[in-house]
Amino acid sequence: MNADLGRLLGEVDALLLDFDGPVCSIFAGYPAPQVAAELVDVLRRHGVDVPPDLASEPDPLEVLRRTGTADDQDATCAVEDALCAAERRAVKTAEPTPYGREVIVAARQAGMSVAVVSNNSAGAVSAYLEAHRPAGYVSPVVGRAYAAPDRMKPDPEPILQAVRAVRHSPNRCVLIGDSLSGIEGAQAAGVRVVGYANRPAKVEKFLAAEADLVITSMSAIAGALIERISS
Amino acid sequence: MTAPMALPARAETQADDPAVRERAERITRRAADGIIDQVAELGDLGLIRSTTVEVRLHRASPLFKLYILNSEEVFYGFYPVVERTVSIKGEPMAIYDLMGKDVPLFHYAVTDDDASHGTRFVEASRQWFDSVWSTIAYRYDA
Repeated sequence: MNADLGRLLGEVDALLLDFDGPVCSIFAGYPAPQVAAELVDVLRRHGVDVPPDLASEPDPLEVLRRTGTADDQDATCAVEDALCAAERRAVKTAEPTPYGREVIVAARQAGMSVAVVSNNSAGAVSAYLEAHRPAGYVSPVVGRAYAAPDRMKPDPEPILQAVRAVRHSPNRCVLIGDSLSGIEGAQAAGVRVVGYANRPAKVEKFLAAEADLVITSMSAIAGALIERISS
Repeated sequence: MTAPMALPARAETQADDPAVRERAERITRRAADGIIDQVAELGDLGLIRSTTVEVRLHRASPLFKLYILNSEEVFYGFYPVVERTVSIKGEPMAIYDLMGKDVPLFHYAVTDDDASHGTRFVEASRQWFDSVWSTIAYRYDA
């Protein structure tokens, strides 16, 4: 697999990273289910009748997505604002992904562009990158469109936005993602995709989704990049 | 070099790290041993009548390099701090490293004028060197 990874990385000029997963675990210190519950409270304060399955939804992005489908733009904006604020708080206690930084730094050494394409808000991503100091290595940071959750990945548009910004053709870019929405978005955008299976159960899922490659540690990418630099 | 160092450091934690320090120690040792071996070889080959090398180490972070030749000439260069991913014991690690291979070396030389920039820089370099050598520097055993 390392040979395949080395070959794939040798064929691309830009690394597009999903944020939550490949770079850090954003809700490590401020659990996602707690954020989701706070968003549900926002909906209730807005007079929305929250069905039980939404009330128990543990993923804040899923709460936002489902709110978006209800066609109540006021409620969507309220949830969006609350989620942006929560993400800004969350990045302060986010847990760096093992070898995530190594990948970003090694990619720059190898002369590659590095971008972040996230369903989290760009403000939170940038705040994290600045606090941990790799901000100068990453451009652009593409976050989710404001109060328009239907435009999040798997919509390919945010990925294509990053592709345009790094000025390489889609097939010279690779997205590193740890979710199906990232893999599907990458395929729709025509970029290569490496599935980062940070839980064992994801390996099969990503293979079934036909990711170009599946890795279980970011160290595989960092190692392949170091080999490329020193060869 | 078993004490914590400000640089090189692990980038993620912005702090000293035993693995990073061990790597720096290995590089330092290799450089010092190389000088010792090469000087001895010049003597062994009879190219120089007699040779001696005395090496001392200090625990401060090396932010620049300074060569003083015959108390008359100085070459001085900065070590920029660069973040890069290196392989330490087979594991990738992003570190703040000191990179001095391709930096310009500034040359200063003693002149007839006691007040000249060159004369004063060489004198100040010697004083700095002696101050470190006679205080915090400790003996290196090859």
